[in-house]
Amino acid sequence: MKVSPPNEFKPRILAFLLCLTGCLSSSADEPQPEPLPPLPPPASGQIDFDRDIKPILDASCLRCHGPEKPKSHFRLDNRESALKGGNNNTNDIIPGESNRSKLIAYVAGLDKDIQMPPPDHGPSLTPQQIGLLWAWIDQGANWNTTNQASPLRLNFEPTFRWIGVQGDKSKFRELEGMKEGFAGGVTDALFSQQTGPNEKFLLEGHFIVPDQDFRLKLALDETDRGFVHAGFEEWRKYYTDTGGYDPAVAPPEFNFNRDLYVDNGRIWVDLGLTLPRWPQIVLGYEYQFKQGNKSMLDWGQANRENVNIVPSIKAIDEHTHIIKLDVTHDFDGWHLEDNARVEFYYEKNRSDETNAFQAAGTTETRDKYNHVQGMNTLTLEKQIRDWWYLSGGGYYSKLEGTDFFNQTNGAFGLSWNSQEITLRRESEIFSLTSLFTPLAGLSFSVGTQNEWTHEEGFGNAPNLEFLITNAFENANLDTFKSMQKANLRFTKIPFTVLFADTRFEQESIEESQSQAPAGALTRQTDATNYRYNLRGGFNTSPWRWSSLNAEYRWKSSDTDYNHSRDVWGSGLGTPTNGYPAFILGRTIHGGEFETKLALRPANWLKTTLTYQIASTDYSTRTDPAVDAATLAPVSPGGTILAGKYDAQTFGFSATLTPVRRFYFYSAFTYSLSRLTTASHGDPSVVPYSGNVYTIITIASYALNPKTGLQATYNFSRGDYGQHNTAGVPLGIDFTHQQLLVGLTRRFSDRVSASLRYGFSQYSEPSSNNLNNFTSHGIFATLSYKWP
Amino acid sequence: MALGAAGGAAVCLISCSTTPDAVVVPLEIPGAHFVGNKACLDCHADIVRKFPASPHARVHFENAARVGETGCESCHGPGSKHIEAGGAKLFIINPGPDPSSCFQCHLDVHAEFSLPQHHQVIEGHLSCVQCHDPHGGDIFKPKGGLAMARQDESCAQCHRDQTRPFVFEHAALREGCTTCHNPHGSINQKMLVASDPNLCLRCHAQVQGPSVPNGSIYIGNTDHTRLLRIGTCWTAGCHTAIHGSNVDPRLRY
Repeated sequence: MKVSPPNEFKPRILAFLLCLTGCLSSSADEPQPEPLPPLPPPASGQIDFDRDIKPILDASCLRCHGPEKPKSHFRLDNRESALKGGNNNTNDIIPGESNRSKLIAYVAGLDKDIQMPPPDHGPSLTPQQIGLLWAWIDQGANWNTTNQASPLRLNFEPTFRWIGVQGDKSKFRELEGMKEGFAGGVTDALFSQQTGPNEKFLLEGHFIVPDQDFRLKLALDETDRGFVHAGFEEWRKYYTDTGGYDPAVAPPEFNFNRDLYVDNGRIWVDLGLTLPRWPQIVLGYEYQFKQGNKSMLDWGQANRENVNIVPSIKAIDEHTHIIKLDVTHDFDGWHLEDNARVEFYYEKNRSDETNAFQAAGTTETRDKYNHVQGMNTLTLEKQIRDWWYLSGGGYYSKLEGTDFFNQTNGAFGLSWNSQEITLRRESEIFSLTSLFTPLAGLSFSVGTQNEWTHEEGFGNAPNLEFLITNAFENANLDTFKSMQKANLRFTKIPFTVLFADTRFEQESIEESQSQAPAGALTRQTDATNYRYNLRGGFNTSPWRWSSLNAEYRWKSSDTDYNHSRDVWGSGLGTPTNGYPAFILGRTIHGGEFETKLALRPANWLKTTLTYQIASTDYSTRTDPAVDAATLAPVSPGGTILAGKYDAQTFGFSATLTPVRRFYFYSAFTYSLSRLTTASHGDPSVVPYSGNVYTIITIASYALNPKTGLQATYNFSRGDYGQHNTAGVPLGIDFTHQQLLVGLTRRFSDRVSASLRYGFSQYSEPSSNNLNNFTSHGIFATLSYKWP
Repeated sequence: MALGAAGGAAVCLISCSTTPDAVVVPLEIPGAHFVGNKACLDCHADIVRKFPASPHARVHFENAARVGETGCESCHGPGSKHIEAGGAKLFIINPGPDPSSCFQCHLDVHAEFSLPQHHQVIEGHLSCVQCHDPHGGDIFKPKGGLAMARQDESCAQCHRDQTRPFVFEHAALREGCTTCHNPHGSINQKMLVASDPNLCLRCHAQVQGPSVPNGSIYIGNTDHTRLLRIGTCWTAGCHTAIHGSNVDPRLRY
């Protein structure tokens, strides 16, 4: 309800001026504007910005006219921006002239087109609030505030740790991601300053040595102008230096006593242009690298009985340079996004597979590869109607690569080199998707994506199968994949959402391969793959204290192969059927059901129970086969249930906050799975089955306003150990637990410190406990924050 | 004040890569309350408009008894202060670099990340959004949504060595990297879903002829009985070029 002010002189002049402005820009034929409502009086007395104005701006204006994404580019969080106005006006606030300041007209409902706040964005201002704004503008619209957020933020957290490890140190590094002994650095360093109403500067960092854990980020942002973002990141991944374990071999386990790790990192710089009403453009460069040594699973031979458990190592040296250009633009309701990349990739890797029993020692494999890849993604989206959202996109990429392969002291005692091998890949993708919301509570989307890919590789390479040191090979692969997808969502049932998703994919493949001399390998394969993926379920929450959801998912993949040409070795001997062109068909069918019940019987207690069950069958159909050497029939061909996988997972979590100073969370999961395959009674292939248990617990308690206690505990256990009567036992039994307890003490508003004790223990009975470790650690961190 | 001290410590457990980590903190923003998805539309229209097609919309409905349990704020925390402060990032949770929000619902995934072999997400070196698009709109990312994605594209962003083209590729890659690997975590080296020959025999087992005695196994035209006792198909040192080979059609080098 409007309250008529006793003194209507000024508002009437303002109304008259506004009316006159409108009349001058209207034709005589246009209808006359409706009479304007009267304005409240200006507040009397001196206005205090903090007391009178800032609360109004905070409550009613900053929601849309704050520093981030301000509507009409009009900001009300600082005086300079406020006086500058927005997209449509420069006279929103004119100090000393409330009658010309559009802000008053907007908030008072004097402008028939614009009302602030908009009706669905909060209540209108009261007459008293309007009067305060009016008087504030007349008194000069001063912005004297003592309540302004500090433009400067500073954070600095030096840290120090010591960890002692008993047992397998390389396993400790791999699992805990850190090195034993002393370490230190800065967990968080931040310097941030609002250098002006529109300019921000940020420098943020993190470094821990000797883990090579570095992060440095620099950001310079100017609103409606642009930005410079740059940074450097590096982190180290550790690997154990042991291979397999076999109790029947002496020794049953080998290790190199080497510190294995790979350093992963990137350096990047992005230059952005963010001018109003212009496309946002980002030009960037990124350099990624991986360097170091990691353990591999192509283990070496341990003894003359041909058991491979000796660890192998791969030296990694990869470098990628990426140039990128991103353009984002909104126009006429369309949203356009284009991402272009040019990537230069170089790798030079070397694998060492040590054969413990061979005098010759190590098989060394060198692979030198590089490629140039260009790619571009274009996406266009628009809300065509209230009920129809359209999205379409295209992707194109082209790759040209070269590979050099060299192996010495390989299998059969051969040394060989591949010549330059050329590799190409070209892909085109087109997608179109619509989302429809024709009725309240009903939405569905349909989409299609079609992909064409051509790959080819050719060059000189040795053919070890026939002891040919020079051979020409050529391979072509053309793939067309068409995917259709639809989803439906219905929310009209009270407190419930029903959903159904379906995806159908059809893939056609044409593949040709040849290796000279003529006939050594000639293959022409056409294949068709159909994949279906169906999902349906519901989520309901009829009471504030509970929710239940459940869904079922079914997926299948059916592939048929037609090998119109399948010659392998005919140039050098009797052709025998076998790989690579051997499988005629393959199906993978699986179902999965999961449900989750969340209960919140009290505000201080939330519990979640989950259950999943999954089952997948793998079937394979092959050609008949005869033994490669004796030509005796070994397979009539046909279809077989090649594998079966079943799994169940149970989960329970609870969050307790019985008092404000105490927080407790714990989650427990238990899963059991079994994978079996048609191994024809081979005692070296036994079911891969077992159980996995995990517990994750975190608790914190505030002793007093300055002191807090924290504890976390992680536990995981698996029992997939195998007791083969032949072959290498390859499953694993283990128990891993980590405990961290400590306290945090605040010494002042700006300074605090934490001291924690960490304990970690790992045991692996399946390797006769050779990989066990126990660690103890002390972690100390000091924190300084300003303001 | 007391809660501030305790909360600060909880956050430190996430960020300190020098410590064993356990990531779950309540999605609380002091002084803020839930406002619902519609309030987010004002500034984030491009995300909110297509949210109904996102996988996360399967658990979201506007008339939920507890506002904020589903929708934007179930991951980003209560939004009232964020809105009042004009979109200030200090008053909203960005789940991008911090998986806490994701783990509130995805208990099974959290458990997988706590297994011995896992991607370094809890350690803070990687994040969920590097592989998943929670809003479902990025053609480069594998999750569903409006713009559908290329399979395995997100793996290829880091694992170029494994996803590059080969003269002789392993057809299993067409089924996707997750056919053999669990990308969140596993008890097995290299995050394999199984660490023994069952992994391969799922697809490569065949009908054995009557001349093949029980206890022996042929794969293709080759007796693999002795070979499988050396180790797995790959640890035995045979099919070591498991992602593809440029010299051998049988992926042995």
